[in-house]
Amino acid sequence: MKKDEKKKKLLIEAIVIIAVILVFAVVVIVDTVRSSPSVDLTVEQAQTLLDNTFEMVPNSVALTANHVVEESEITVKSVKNGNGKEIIFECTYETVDIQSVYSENKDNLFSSAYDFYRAEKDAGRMVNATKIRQNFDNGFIEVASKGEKVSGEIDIYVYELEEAAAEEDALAMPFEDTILRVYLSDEVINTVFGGLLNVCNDAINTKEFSYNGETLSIMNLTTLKRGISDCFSIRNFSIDKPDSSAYFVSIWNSFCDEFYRNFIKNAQWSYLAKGLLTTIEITLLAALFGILIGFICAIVRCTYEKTGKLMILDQIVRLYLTVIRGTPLMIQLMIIYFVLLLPVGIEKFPAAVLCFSINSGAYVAEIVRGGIMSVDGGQIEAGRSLGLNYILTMYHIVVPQAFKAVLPSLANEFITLLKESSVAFYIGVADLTQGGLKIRSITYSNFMPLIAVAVIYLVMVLILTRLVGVLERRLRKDER
Amino acid sequence: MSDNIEINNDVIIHVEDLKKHYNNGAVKALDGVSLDINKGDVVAIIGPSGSGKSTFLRSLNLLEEPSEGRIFFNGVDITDSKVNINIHRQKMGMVFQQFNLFPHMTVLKNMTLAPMKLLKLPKADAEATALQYLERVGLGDRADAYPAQLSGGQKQRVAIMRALCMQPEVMLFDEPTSALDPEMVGEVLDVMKELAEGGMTMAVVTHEMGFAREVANRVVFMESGVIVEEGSPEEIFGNPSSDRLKSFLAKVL
Repeated sequence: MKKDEKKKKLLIEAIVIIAVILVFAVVVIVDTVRSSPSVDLTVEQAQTLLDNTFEMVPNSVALTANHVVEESEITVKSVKNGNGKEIIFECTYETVDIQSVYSENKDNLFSSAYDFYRAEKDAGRMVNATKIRQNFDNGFIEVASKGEKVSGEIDIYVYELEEAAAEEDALAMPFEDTILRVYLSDEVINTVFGGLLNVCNDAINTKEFSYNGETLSIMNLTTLKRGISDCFSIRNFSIDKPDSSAYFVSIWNSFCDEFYRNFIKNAQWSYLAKGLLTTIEITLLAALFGILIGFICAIVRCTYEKTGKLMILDQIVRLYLTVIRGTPLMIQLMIIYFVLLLPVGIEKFPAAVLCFSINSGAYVAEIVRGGIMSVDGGQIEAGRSLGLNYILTMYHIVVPQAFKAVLPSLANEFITLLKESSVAFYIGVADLTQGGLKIRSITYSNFMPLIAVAVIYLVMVLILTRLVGVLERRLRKDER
Repeated sequence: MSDNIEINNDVIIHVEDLKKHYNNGAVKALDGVSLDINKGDVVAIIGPSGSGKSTFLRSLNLLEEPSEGRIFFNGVDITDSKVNINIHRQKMGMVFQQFNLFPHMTVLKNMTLAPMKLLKLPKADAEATALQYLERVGLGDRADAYPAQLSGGQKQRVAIMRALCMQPEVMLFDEPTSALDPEMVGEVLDVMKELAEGGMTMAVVTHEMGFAREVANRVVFMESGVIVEEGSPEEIFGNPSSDRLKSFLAKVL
């Protein structure tokens, strides 16, 4: 049972770590791939692009709008450049309430289409859906023009420009092979195309209609049915691409864009990489010296408490612990560097290592002291009774047991140290935090650099926690 | 060496008027105890709890520092602060009520640590000796086990063998069977008995009257920090002279 739970926990943790790493890998890869052809557009160029696109793709907004949007003019309002381009169009329009017109005239429309279908068939000509649609279109426009007109203005966002040409060509002739993909939000569809979608659905789902007073089933007239419903469908607009996705596409694009701007551009990620290395160096060195200082202080204090020896040293250690644990780390760092070490010309990095060692040592000392005190007094007696002196007894018998007891607390201290080393930037050490802040000062964006720094710290802490777990299990093998 | 007294060669431990006070003399755990332990003696120390018998035994190798009095080990006053007690402790094995095996080491490591560090024995020799001892008490197959994997009786047998690995001249036993389940007492007493038969000098604080009567050649009865009566097992158990001993025996036998 317990083993299974542990395995499960381990698996979940592994998945979380892998997922975080994967997301970053994907972002980096996607962004690198996407970012290669990047052309900045002006508003005028975008307008040209828009006109060209609608010319090249005949059955798009303008044509479809014939059915519902009586008059429309689309102009480019603004262009957002960068990796994920975003063009905002402004669309002024006049539209008719197609749904009510359709409801009133549905039977007439179906009847006239049926008349055409019958007449063609009787004349022995081939009737297909396209022919019916073409004939039906005209009748529809006649009917629709009776509707009430509504005017308005909307913004249409266009995302995604695929540029097939190479970068230099694109600069010279930027729009030759450019495909503009338009995704519309539900709001836009409802406003501009009114009830057209509903009408289309109704036409598709119609089972029967009234013809010269009798009810006719359309079930068997598949060609007719397709011709009619074809006429209502909005061509060249992807209604399968629901527009909630456009929202996510927009977020994703701006995410990639931001990512590129903050990390990929000018290899700015190297600030983070170099900073990370410095942070790891500081933490490892400080942890090493901190544990050394901590153990020495703990042994001094325990020796005094147990034997009454080393009184003066004990007093010194107490003073050290009081001062270090009673003042903020940042102030200690600044005092050690600016007051003590800068005047004698010592660099920032050794100053930071020294400060964090001294700070960590104080906390480790108290942790280890607790561990040593928790070792059964009989252990010391057993060691001493064999003839081992105090130091050998401590070294071989007490400290290893104490170490095992305090390992979780030591690991926590190490993790705290890793995170607290972030204040090193106050004296100008180029650590991970400073790397993030440096990027922030270049790009003026907050989200990406700060989140990236946080995520890197988090991943390191997760990995450390895992490692400590493994070490703890190995040390616990004698307790079974 | 000038203040070392001339004593009989057969006396290993000579205790003179030993006192142990706590709280500035308010509590007198030992109140003037004198005793000679001769080579080959098996001395059983009995008495009610709180009588000072454990304190006395632990004073013999200075785990308790006496307040007054002197202890001579092989003619050397080990209470003298100039004496390196560690060297003398090597010759006095001690077995505890709570075993006190080192939980982070295997049985073999428990037994070879002190010989390797103090007697400077090569690892192979130390391990060979340790294995020999383990075989003797039937634990040859548990050399690589950790103490937590052993039963109480096994732990105590290992603890005895750990002390023996230092080749001591005297063995001190501090209630070695008190923390054991009843069915494990026998196996530990057997080892001690065998040890006694081999001629080991032993001082045993015990509640096992059967063991005291059968194995010890001298029995010491303590109460309130003093030795009330001392003699052969026959005298102590067969013909107790003091009222206090009589009432103690009446309770435990």
